[in-house]
Amino acid sequence: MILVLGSTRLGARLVKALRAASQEVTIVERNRRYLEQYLADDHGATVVLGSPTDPDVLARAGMERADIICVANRDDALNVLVADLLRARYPSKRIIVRLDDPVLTQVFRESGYEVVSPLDLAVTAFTHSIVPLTERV
Amino acid sequence: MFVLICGSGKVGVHLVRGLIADGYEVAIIERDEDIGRTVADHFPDVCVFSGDATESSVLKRAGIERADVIVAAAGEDKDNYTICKIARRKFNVPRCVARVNEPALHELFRAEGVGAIINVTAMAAQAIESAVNS
Repeated sequence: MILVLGSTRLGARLVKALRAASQEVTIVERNRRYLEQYLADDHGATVVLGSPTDPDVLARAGMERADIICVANRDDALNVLVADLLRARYPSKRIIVRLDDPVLTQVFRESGYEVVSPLDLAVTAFTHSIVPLTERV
Repeated sequence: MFVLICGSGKVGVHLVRGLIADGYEVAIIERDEDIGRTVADHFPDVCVFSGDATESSVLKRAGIERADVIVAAAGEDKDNYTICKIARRKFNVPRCVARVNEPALHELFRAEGVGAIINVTAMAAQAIESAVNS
């Protein structure tokens, strides 16, 4: 089971993509409005309303049997706190964190986290579209 | 000694006054432009930077690289935790002081090397309790 924390644009798209790949998915979001705005009803994922820093909410979301946790909130600071809390509580779980700030991205990678940085990915994609492979240093 | 304060508010204003009186160099990062302007008007010697202190570029602009002490005094725990994390892991700031609301998070802050944790609510409650008892 894949646990996705945060249902803004990226989290919601991730849920749909994982469901399309036949994965079992549970999503946790504290803001009901985001769920309504970004996540359509026909995705087939389990939805849990509550804060990702609340142990009771995570227990309700089935944390114990999650294979991978995606920390995908829009807010870097929230992801930083949530990821470190989860690692302290569940040291054996695989955690993938979304971060945009370049320094936080570096610090988290050095600490052994898997980091997905939408900003980095976008810049790389733009650059690769513009500069031919042979001209890149 | 250079002290960088992140998030000012009312506590920050009193803190700045005390630190300047003690001879510290002080800079502030404040997200709210109105509060920032008020602080700048009150303390002409203090550099006030407008922005989000959880962003490393904002911390750099405010001089975190030469800070002796960083005070993470924003309203939310996640912001103060992130500020301390950047300060400790990237910039080796020798001393971090953080305001933390949730007691369950104290251990996490300590594990990041935060030297002093201030729980404003608990301190106010203690002060009121001792005033009642005296």
